[in-house]
Amino acid sequence: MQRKQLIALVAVMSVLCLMGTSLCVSTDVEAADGRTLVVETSPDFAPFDYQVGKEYAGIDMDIVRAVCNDMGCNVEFRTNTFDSILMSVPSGKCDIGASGFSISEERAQIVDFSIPYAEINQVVVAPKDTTIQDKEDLNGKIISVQTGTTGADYASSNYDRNNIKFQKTYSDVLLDLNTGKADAEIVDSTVALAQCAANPNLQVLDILDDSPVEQYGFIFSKDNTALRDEFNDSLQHIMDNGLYDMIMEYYEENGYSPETPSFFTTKGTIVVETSPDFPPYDNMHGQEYTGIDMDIMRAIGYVTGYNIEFRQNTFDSVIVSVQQGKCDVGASGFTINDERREKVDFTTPYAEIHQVLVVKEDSNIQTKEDLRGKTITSQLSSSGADYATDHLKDSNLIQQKDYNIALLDVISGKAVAEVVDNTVAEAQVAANDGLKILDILDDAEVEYYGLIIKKGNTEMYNLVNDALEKLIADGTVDRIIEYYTSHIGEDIASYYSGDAAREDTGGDDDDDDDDAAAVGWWQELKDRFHNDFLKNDRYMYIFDGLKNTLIITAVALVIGLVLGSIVAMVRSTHDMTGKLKIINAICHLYITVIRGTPVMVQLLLIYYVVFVSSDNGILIASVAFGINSGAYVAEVIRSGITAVPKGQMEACRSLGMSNRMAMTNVILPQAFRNIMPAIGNEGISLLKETSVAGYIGIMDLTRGADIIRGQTYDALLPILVAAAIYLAIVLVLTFFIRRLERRLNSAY
Amino acid sequence: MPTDSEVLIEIRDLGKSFGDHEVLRSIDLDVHKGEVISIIGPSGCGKSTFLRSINLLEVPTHGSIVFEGIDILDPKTDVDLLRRRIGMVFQSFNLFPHKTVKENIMMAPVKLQVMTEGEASAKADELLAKIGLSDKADQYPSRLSGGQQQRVAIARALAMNPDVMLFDEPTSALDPEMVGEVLKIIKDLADSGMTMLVVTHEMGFAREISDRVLFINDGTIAEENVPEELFGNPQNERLRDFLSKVL
Repeated sequence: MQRKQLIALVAVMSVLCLMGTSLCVSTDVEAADGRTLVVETSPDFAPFDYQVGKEYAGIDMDIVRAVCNDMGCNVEFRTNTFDSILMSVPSGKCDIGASGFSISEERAQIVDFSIPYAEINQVVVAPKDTTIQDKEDLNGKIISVQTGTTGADYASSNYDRNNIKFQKTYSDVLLDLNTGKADAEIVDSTVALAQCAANPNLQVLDILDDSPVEQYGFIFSKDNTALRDEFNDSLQHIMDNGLYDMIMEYYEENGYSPETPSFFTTKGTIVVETSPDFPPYDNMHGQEYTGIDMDIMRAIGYVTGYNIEFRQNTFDSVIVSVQQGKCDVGASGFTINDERREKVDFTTPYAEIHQVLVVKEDSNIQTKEDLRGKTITSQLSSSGADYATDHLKDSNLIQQKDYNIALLDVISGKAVAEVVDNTVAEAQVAANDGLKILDILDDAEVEYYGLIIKKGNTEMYNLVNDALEKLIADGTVDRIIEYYTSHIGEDIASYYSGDAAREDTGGDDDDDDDDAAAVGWWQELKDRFHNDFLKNDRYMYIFDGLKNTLIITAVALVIGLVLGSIVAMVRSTHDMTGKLKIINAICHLYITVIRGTPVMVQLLLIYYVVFVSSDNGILIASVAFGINSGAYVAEVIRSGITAVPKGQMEACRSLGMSNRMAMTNVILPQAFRNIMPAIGNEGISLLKETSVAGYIGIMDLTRGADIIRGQTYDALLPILVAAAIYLAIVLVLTFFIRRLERRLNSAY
Repeated sequence: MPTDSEVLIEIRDLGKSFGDHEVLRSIDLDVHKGEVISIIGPSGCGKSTFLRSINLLEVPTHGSIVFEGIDILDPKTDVDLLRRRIGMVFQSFNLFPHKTVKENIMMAPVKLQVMTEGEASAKADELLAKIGLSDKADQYPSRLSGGQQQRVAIARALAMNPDVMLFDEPTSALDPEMVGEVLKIIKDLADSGMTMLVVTHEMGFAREISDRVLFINDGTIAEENVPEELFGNPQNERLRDFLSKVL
């Protein structure tokens, strides 16, 4: 099984490389398995089931949405009448009935119930000026009820049936009350609140002390217990993680008004950037952003009613992105300090950490003094690096691009200790054998993590910070942190994702049993390959990255060729005729500047200075690499033109041909053959240069491999695979260039 | 010697400097229709520069060139149009390597729209027959010997039906055994009445075909005469010195 997967993956990768195609990959995490559950409801039962415009809203609807999201499947809501749903579900016409079904033995005969999600009792709704004060007062009064409800049952068993009006819908019941055709209504307590919210002249009278306490459940066909059990697991999960409470609170806060849109209706999108290589704060689980920061942002999204869109970027670049408004919030374990405070605004802190050392288990370091003259390591511009610079001056500090590389310094013995936040340290030690934490940096200040928001963006700041404070106050943040710290070192799904529940019961991890005979390095390699690429669909990073790399390279090459040709023509024309002085000077400047500065610096400048208002990283990268390539291509083409003997132009001119005619018919065709190898080389180096695209938050092939490394702490294999793919593409390109050259050469 | 026929090119006080280096001081020359003029002289004397000035591959520093009544140094003159009527053959052939022999010949007439594709093709076939290379029509120049290439270059220039032909040391780059075939073509052309200026080191050839021979030295025409007189009775001391070395 495992070997087959491996072969299949290698095959797919090779095909992809050979064809050079871009694979279109769905990134819709919400509907990972593509399953759609059909849910029927009678949307006339606010606050449980109703519609706002065409959208289904209400407690039932949103719980179903949350549960299905947790299960990883889509939902399709359909309208039916209350009674018919009870027929529809057993016959399999729909998967779930969600319409405020109270759990009763009678119904349990025909359908299965989920675990209860709401508890209600019966109350009386009457006009505010009513004389009714207790349940005895209802005798002789006209009572309106909806047919088939518990309220109807209660009314008919306690009061004179001749005084009861059985209406088809709640709207009709309310019409009775408002027109004086009925004195009171007997109805579920929550529905009553909704009705009163919508009709200010009505009030709730909780006087039916002998009414049964009912529980609501979702209904399933008796033939589909698997679905019911899966649904129950996820329902329990959202009750545990607080999402259920948020939904209930949301409806309560809105007074159960039937105007309230769905909890999941978004008022907009908050774009959040993170560097997902900092577990347990920021990480990826397959395609899903996970970690304390990510789930706090998700919770903020739930509370504020905003959709949260995550993007990844390098740690340093996240701050710049926030400053420039390329994203709304930066969430990447940012320690609050004065230096950063000058650039961005920090929210209320949500976590407290301090610096510790990660060393090998057999390390003889015991005090800070032992670090004197030794090499230590840390992530560039992290608090650990700052601490080391200020307090461990006698040590030799290496600053690495990320924590994982810093950790590798310790594992490989290049450094004796890593200075790092305690939470990260715990994650690292848990994931790697032979390491331990030394909590000896007593002079390290306790730090606080905050989310960062652009200075002056008070609207966003208040939105996010108010929500965050609420989540801190109600314990949600603590629960999220507790969830991650209790799974430290494990690759776990988001607190708000159903994967967590499934993985605990052992879903896709346990397929490492087949050939126990194959041991040693081969088995280890296979395990590592499985962990790096197959587990949690991590190969998607490679695929997505490869796709982006190919797109950027292709677009940049086209831009480079066009730009380079134009510049080369200007330069050659100037060389030959002395015309176009000013344009030639501009072209010369362009070539000098581009060839005189590193491509990565150009990329950053173009992203952060030239295209400040755009956040389409792939487009910007394509343009940046195209502009860069254009300078080289221009010089290649110019030298190709120069290499055509002068006599060719003279021969043309002596025959009466114009400069342009000579260029197009004689000079350029020959120049083309001269430059083919060089242009091919330019394409190849362009492909490899795009590997710095990760610096502006694009997931290219290199960054994809980087992210896998961040998740698995496997330093080598992802990079080797990325290298192999680059090499494969280059070999293919070389093959085609050779063939083209041969064809051109054999022509004359 | 048809000196009595009409003047095709009238050159007065022609001078050319490259920076401080004065290559041509002052040249006066009338080229008559049908006349064949050979230009000899020591290397570096400016004879090639002089020839290349006539079709403005080199732009003269001073003086005037009037071609069939048109002042070719006048900025308003369409040089490209003028060049169509002045064929030129180079020392290094300068055939277009990416085109076949026939395409080389046809390119200018077709691209400049002086002939249709069909007319140019017929013209090319006729010229190829004349230079004896009909069988090489579809070869690329790299497949041809130097002599054959130079013959094609002559045909290419002739395809535009020029009024005058300029030869810039047409045999200097050839192996000795190939010189003859090229000279024969040029001689045939001279015999057909084409006006020609030939820069050459082949003194015997110059003597045989020329109506007039110019000896250029130090940027001026040091001596000019009919070939028998110039070679048989040279007056200029430099010319005598030069002839003693090359003959």
